[in-house]
Amino acid sequence: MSGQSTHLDPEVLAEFRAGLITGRRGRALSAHLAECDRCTALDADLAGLSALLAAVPPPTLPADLANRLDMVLAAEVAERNNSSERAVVSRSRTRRRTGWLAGWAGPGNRRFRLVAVRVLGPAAVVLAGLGYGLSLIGGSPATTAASAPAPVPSAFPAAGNATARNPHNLPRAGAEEGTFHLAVSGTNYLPGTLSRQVQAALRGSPALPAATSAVTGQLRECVLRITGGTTPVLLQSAHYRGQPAYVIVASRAPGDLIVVVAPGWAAPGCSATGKDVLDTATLPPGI
Amino acid sequence: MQGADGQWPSDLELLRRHAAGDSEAFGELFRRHRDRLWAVALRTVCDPEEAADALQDAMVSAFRRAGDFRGDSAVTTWLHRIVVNASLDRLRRKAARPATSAGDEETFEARWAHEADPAPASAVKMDVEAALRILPPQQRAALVVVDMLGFSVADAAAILDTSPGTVKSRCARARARLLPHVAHLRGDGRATEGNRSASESVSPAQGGDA
Repeated sequence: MSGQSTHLDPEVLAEFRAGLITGRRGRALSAHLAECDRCTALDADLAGLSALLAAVPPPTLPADLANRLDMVLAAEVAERNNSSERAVVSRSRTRRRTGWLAGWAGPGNRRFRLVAVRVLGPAAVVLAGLGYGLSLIGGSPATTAASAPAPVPSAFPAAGNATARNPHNLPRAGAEEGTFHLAVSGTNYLPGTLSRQVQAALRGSPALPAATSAVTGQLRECVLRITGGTTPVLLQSAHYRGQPAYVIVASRAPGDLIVVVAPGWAAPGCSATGKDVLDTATLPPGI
Repeated sequence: MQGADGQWPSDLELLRRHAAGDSEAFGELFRRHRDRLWAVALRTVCDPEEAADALQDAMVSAFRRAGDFRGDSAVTTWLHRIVVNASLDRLRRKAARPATSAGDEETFEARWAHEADPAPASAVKMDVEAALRILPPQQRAALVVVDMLGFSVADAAAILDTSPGTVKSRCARARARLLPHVAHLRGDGRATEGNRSASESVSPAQGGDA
């Protein structure tokens, strides 16, 4: 039948190799292969193809995607914890369709309540984004935080903070103090009003107890690197001029309140430098 | 298969903890597998941005649907299945969008070009992954799961939500279709005389010195 006299079609041969052709037809194909060099070579090519495919080195997960996934996951955890605490709303919120990115891509497309604010002290530094803006604004020893590849000595000497001493300390490891949370906000921060908007965010959101998502993984490390190891008062995912951005609030020194904006999803490998910073501002003390 | 074996807590344990409200468990589970899941998404979708969206969709979906996991397959299989579904879903939605033909192609090529990859086999890798684009999505997904990731036909059937026979058939058609497009890649390494053992073919990663 097929292939006794003519050469085999690659697809037929591939099906034969996959065990899909058996019985009389299979025997006929075997017989043809036994005496046809051309089809035998084709058969070997097919075998070689599978080997070639298996040997293609796998792609590496891009660092910015890893960050983004960490952040989205943290937001998911926050939302779940939050909804389970407030069982009333949980249904409609968790049953929404997927399509997260659409929510991220456009400003204010999906609005989340600010999830958590922990106020550590009388003063706070506010940074937005995972760009390392401390060098831009600090002009102080904090500049070391901008380029150091590993957790650096704290630029924010928050007394008694476990995380400041051990940035890699996992929340599980007993440092409840070192735990911080991700808040997702629909706020679209703007150049002229950044400072005011951040203040509003700090004032307007009630501090919630532990029913929020602890930030872990690469996002956590990036944030701690920005703050020099100090637990941020606020970590917020929002927008700046319509683009995704992080907002980080941390205590640096008494009376010192600073805002930096950088692209969200940024911080590939936590190696961002000052040029990635979109904006900075200093908040008046006493917030 | 991969990594999860012998790790503690097990994938299943992590998934259970997550379903029980543990805030950390899913992250640990996902981080174990995300490199491989990324490979599935990227190779199935053939577009880094769309693949990133697909992986994110899948992660969120798995996070929310952990309670649906019935335990009739490995957790890895379940995760791969969600990623493949999300990837095919992205492709469907992309196909439904009005085409910006040429522009799309250019951006795509540019993106591939920008993907830094210092591996010596990267040229081959890029050629193969570019060749994969000629395949229909279902065939491509089958080929990626079976030939590139090494899943058994049975596991692949679970991942692709179809029968083992269909998996074999899709793979066979995909290989036949792909063959002319990658034949040149093997020209320098392979012995000319036919041998049915795939393992004897020289892989591109090893060069021609086998």
